[in-house]
Amino acid sequence: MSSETVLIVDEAPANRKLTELVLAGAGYQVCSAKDAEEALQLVRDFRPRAVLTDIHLPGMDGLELTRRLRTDPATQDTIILAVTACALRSDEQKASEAGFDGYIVKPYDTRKLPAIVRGHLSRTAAANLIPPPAPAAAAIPAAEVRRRFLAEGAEQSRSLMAILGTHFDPQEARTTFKRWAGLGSTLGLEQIAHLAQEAQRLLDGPHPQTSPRLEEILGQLFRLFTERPPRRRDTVLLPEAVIQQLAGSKLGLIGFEAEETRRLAEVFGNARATVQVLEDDDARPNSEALDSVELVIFNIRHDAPPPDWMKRKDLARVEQPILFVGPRDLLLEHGISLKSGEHDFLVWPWDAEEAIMRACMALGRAGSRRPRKPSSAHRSGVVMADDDPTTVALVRGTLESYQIECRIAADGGQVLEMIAAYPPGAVILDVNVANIDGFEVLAALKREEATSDIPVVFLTSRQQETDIVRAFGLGADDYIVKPFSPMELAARIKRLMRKSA
Amino acid sequence: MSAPGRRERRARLLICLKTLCVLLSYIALTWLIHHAYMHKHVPDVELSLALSFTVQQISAILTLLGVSFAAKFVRHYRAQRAERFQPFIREKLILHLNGTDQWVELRRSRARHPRELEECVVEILASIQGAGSDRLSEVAREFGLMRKWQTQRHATNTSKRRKAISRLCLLGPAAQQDLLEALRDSDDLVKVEAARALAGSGDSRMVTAVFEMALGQNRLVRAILSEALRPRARELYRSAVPDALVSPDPKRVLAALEILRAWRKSAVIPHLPALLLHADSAVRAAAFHLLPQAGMAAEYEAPIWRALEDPDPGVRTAAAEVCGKLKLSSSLLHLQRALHDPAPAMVLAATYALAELGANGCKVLESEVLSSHSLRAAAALEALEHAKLNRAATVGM
Repeated sequence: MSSETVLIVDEAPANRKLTELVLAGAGYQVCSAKDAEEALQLVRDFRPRAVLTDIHLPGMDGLELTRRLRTDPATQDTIILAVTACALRSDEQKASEAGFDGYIVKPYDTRKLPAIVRGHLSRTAAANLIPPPAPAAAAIPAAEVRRRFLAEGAEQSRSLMAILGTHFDPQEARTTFKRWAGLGSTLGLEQIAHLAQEAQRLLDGPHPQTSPRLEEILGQLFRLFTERPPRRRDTVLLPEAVIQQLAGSKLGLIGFEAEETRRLAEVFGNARATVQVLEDDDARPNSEALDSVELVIFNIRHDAPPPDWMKRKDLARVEQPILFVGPRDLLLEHGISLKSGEHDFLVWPWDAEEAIMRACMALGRAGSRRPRKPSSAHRSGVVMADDDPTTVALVRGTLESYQIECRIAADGGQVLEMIAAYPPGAVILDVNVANIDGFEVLAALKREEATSDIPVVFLTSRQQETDIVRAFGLGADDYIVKPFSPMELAARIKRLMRKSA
Repeated sequence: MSAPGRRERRARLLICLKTLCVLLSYIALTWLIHHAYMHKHVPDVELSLALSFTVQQISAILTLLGVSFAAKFVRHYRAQRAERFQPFIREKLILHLNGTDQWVELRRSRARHPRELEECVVEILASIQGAGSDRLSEVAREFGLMRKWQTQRHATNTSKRRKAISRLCLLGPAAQQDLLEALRDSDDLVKVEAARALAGSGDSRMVTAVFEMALGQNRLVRAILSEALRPRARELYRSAVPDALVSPDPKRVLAALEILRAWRKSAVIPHLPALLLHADSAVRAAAFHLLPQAGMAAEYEAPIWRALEDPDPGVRTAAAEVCGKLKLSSSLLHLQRALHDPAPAMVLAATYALAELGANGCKVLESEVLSSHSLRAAAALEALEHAKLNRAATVGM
């Protein structure tokens, strides 16, 4: 993968974000600025290989920015591409005169943008012997493709409904339906694909434009295109390649507040990765805690000084890739390693897609260096079965505050299913659970070789001696009686998980 | 008449009065309908009264149905609200007790869903202990829940008082004063609930207060509290027990001895020699029952021999049992004499004690099996069988 840096300058946050995602997916390091002044600063600090700038910017426009970059000997070789929605001939001419290397008209094709940038870079790369970045499978984020498809579909289906009885062109409609069927199926929108296929078949019949069924199908399609699924904060649709890259990875967090830790856990949980909070003291280079994670995400904050090993510039001794997070000014303050492109960075305020992409890139870069740990070490989180919603909420809330993922099973049978699907680091059981009771679940776990070493903790209100003896006799690792101390429970679970790992 | 008897009588009287009130209100209502409306339209008095009664009955049934439906609706509405809001409130409370400040959200919930918040606080407090519990108790205090429960503790309605005290018990040291006051409540359940919470608090002053309260309670309450106090027995042996055992009230002394016996802990029982000679026979008997826990000492032998000839059969029986439990071989002749005691319980205790004394005791029993006195013969045979079974069990081990 390339570590070439590209700077995006655009006033509109949505455009900046889309371009960032597309280029990050193609393997570039991306930074962005909302105006020319900020861009100049970033160019001085990061020395990007290419700048993609809108011509119409607030204050100093893109043309002036380009002129200034061209006049500065330090930046005159930077490749500058104009990106604008107003594709007037005069603009193109002005851009050429100002010193732009290329011109991209918005809305651009996300599939072609990385190739355009690569093309421009490779022209100068031939001289500098820099290999071009490998084409990435997930160059266009799936979420973006899906969003566009739905937006276009809604527009087209509405138009088709409007002209159905009057200017309906079956040939054109057939092309549209065919596209919907194909793309809908690819994107997992089975209902849309199915309806589009049915509509295609109706077009083969006589007088399709008067068919009430076709009208009905178009109505249904319009509803499906405009329907917005409920979306949680930080829940992102991720390309399969990203999930594969992150799944099972353990990410170490240093210097994050509880709320941000929680958010990161949620974000990376979507990609089936787990996060672990590393204390500054434990996270020294080559320490056990640091070695247990595959990527270090370091938060640089105004209110907390970085640890000594950062000041001593011992970063090179850290084997894991590091993703720095923080406000732009602080990132620049600690910018030696950032400028070299050795480490990735995430500028605050960040969003979920960007965080995942950055982590994915960092891991991908380190992938060839660090072998993956064996699967048994990837057991993470806790599976819990209890019929009391308060206890469930308490345990889940507490464990999650310690960055331990907690999956809840409704009954004993489901516990066994969950464990078979994703073996957890520990299991918390109540004695009285529906279907199969806690003792039977424990016995079943201990019978199977694959699950016999998973620590099992009983959390129950039953405190009779016989129950306790029976639980330990069957192989339970701990027995906690309610009312319990949530923090004590978390400490016990952590200890057991550590021992088991 | 005893206090429970008086209470039961009062409760029955109350039921009779309530029934009478309902009857009178029925009659009054029927008369009112007849007088105000029905007789103007129905000249026949008897028919008018019958119709008034019917109208009154229908009204009563409709009212009851209406109230029942309203209650059901309210319950359903509350359940729906709880289902809707409690998960969110619970989540915020858990975040808060885990150390993330959630005051703003919790205050909002308090303003919008006070009932749901209260239920969540109670549910979680009942499930946890430690630092999290302290943080949640602070929430309960801050939101006035504690004040509300304190007010409800003085309600005339018993179930309200019980509910309030069970909630105050969850608040730990903050509610100790209320719990102490609740020890004087007229309702046993309220007292037990408060006492158990205080006994579990770990505060010596509170444990002593509970022990002293237990001494004045009925046997059931005492049995429950004995269990609650068992973990603090050692401490109580040093603090409250000596004072209780020298109380001028023999009932309190007896209650204290019964609690000590229920604990089944080997310990030095304060003032035991004096209690073995106590003026009250029940106290004497209870003191003898405690001898196996205190361990045998030479100073106790003389009182045991004397007790075997005590005028009270309860004391004699207790002394005989102690001889068996302590395997006092020197008591053989005394027990042999005790076989001729007029009290059947004493005869049975003596035979069992002899069976515990080994070969010599069994010899005596074997000779008694052939006795013409049916009770002695049967008791001796039973004790011998018992001894044989015990031996077999010991060999089997």
